[in-house]
Amino acid sequence: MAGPVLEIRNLTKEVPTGNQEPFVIFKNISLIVKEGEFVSIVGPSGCGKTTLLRVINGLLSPSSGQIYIDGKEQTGAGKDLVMGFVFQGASLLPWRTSVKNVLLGLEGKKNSGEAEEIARFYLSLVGLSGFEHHYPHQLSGGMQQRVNLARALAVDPRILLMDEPFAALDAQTRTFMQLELLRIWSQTKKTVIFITHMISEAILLSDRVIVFSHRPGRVRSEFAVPLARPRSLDIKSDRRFVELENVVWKQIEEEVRAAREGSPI
Amino acid sequence: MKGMLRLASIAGGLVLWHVLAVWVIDDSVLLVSPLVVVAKGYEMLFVTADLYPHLFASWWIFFYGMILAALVGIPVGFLMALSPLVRDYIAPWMTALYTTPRIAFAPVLLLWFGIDIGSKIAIVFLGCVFPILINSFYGMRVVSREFVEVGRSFRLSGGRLFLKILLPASVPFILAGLRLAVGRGLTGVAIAEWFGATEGLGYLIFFAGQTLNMPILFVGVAVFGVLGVLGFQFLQIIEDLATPWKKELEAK
Amino acid sequence: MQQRGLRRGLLSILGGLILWEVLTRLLLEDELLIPPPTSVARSLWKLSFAGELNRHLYATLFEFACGFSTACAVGIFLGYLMGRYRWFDELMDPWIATLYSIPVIAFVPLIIIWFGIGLFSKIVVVFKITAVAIMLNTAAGIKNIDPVWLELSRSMRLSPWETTAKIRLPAALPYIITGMRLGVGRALLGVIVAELMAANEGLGYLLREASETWDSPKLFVTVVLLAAMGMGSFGLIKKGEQRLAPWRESAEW
Repeated sequence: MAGPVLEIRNLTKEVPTGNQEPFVIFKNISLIVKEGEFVSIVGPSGCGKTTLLRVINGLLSPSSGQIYIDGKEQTGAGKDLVMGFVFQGASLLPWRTSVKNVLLGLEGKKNSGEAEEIARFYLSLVGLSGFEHHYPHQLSGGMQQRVNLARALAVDPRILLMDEPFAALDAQTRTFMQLELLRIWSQTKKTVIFITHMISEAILLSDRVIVFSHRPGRVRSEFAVPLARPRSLDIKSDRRFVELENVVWKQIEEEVRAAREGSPI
Repeated sequence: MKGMLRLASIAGGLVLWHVLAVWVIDDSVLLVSPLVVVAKGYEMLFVTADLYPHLFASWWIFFYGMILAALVGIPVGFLMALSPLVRDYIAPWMTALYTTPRIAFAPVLLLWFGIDIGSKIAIVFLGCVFPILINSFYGMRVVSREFVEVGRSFRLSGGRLFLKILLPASVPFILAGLRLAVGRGLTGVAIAEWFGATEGLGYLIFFAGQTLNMPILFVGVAVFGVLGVLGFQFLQIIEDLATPWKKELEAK
Repeated sequence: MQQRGLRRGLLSILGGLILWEVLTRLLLEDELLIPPPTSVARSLWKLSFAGELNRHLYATLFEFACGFSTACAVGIFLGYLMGRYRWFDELMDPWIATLYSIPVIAFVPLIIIWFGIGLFSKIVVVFKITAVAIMLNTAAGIKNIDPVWLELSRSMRLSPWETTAKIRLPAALPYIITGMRLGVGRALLGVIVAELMAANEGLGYLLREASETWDSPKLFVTVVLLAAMGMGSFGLIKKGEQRLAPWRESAEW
């Protein structure tokens, strides 16, 4: 398929604040994501990266600008399910078992036998064979996020949007899940936008890292990650990895300082 | 805007009620206009003043029943929370008493305590004691799990631990229990006064029902409603004053 | 742990019954005040053979079942609307809150005057009590839904109808069941009161008959039956709660 999977043009999101100036969350964001590309967005907290993801998905509407998927403009939450969204926290439905949670986006769109087969396939892809009939409260935090990922993948989206999916996990589980995501990504070849505030996570996973400025959020800089795939934890000690991490860290530090000057925190 | 719709709803409902009573049903045995009810209430409160004896009669039954329920419910709840042994032995009896409709005990209590105030207090007591007991139980259980280690680390003795930490920390739960008990206590009053009483709000309602006196019946029902709301709000205020640090804490 | 609690509970009930039997046999001359458990059991046996008991039991159960099931349907429907639409909530709230704060049995004389002394007035009593409890709780459940589930629903492009059926109602289910649990106790009380006041069958009627004729074994039989009904319905709802909302720790009482 020619052309980018996702194209964003001059996207701006403002929130009206009574009679004062509107509160600008991010401004004039343009972004192109190619087929099969893994792009991470990092930035200081409160820079609007999570909001951007919600606007792309149609959960929030933009104040101005356009979003195209495969060249087709997206307006609001349309009917077609072309995006998969992985939420940060516990977004699994507690009254549904793992397999039923994964089925959520498939019900009514495919016949039930076929849908169930797809759901089971994606559960096994994320390493949860044998846990199909467990309820979320019977699963660990890491396992819950695996179900979350399987649910987003199961609808076979053109692009996968991940909103700090590992933020609530403990450090070991988080590292382990990053490696799992690398494996799953290499098997599905999905186009991914990944939001995180952890620089090493972004570099480890991505082809491209985008750094956001402080509010109002803008694209401050972009880095292609010069590391070959398949990757393992070893590359964290690679010279290029460390250098990139340092550069990104310095930029984010500057943004945090700049943000502080304006406010009393 | 927010209050407007509410007011409109109340006003509209009252108008509808009036229209129904005066033009549609037009039978004072079945329904009377809210205006008639208000007039009757005014009369009973300020002109003939014959509401007060009933009010006081009911108040004393309610008051003694509630006090007794607190005196029994709080310590037993605490004991059950602090000792699994006590809990295991009491729990089945409690479940039985709690889930049985209270009215079933009324004739039995009447048999035991006679038709004087004793049996009436017992009926109110039976209604109030469980919400108080259950809330004290849950409160103390939560609090003791949370704070016992803090107390230990400060080397507090058992008695001081209880007085300084556990008791104050479980106050909001107890107050929530008392608040729930108000409604059940009022129901208890109504039940109690139905059995062989000659005065009281419950008696008033049943007497009015028997003699098909709609205005008095509605006044009685309204007074019960007002008392329920007042009692609930009163304890809510006490709760907020006593526990400014946790407003939203509610026992299940 | 669980096992020990159960053993102690059984021991406690057994011990209590034996103590009751022994004390009443030793201390009381006549069985008027407290009949020993064995006389109550004998009376239960006799009454159920005479068929008298069944008639009253069925009447009460029938009234209860009719009122309760219609209350569930109406209560969930209106509660859902109250939870979804602010204007409907504000319209209903003053009246619902008033109905809820007036003691159940204060209404009973009114309902009997309006709907007669037959089955129907008892069904209305059960309906009124249960519907209000379920309505308020359903509304609370619909309002308190975790916003992330609504985002999920949008990101999955579920239709409004699907969102209601798959997200909102299941999310409110624990609240709805709590409403049912609150309703059951109060409704049972209401129906017995109504039967006590004006009826010619039902357990409440039996209760009055027994107390007026000073037939204390019969009185105690009725009390025991009512206790069984109370505990039974309570237990059923608790079971349902564990079944339908297994992720939630249900309350002990």
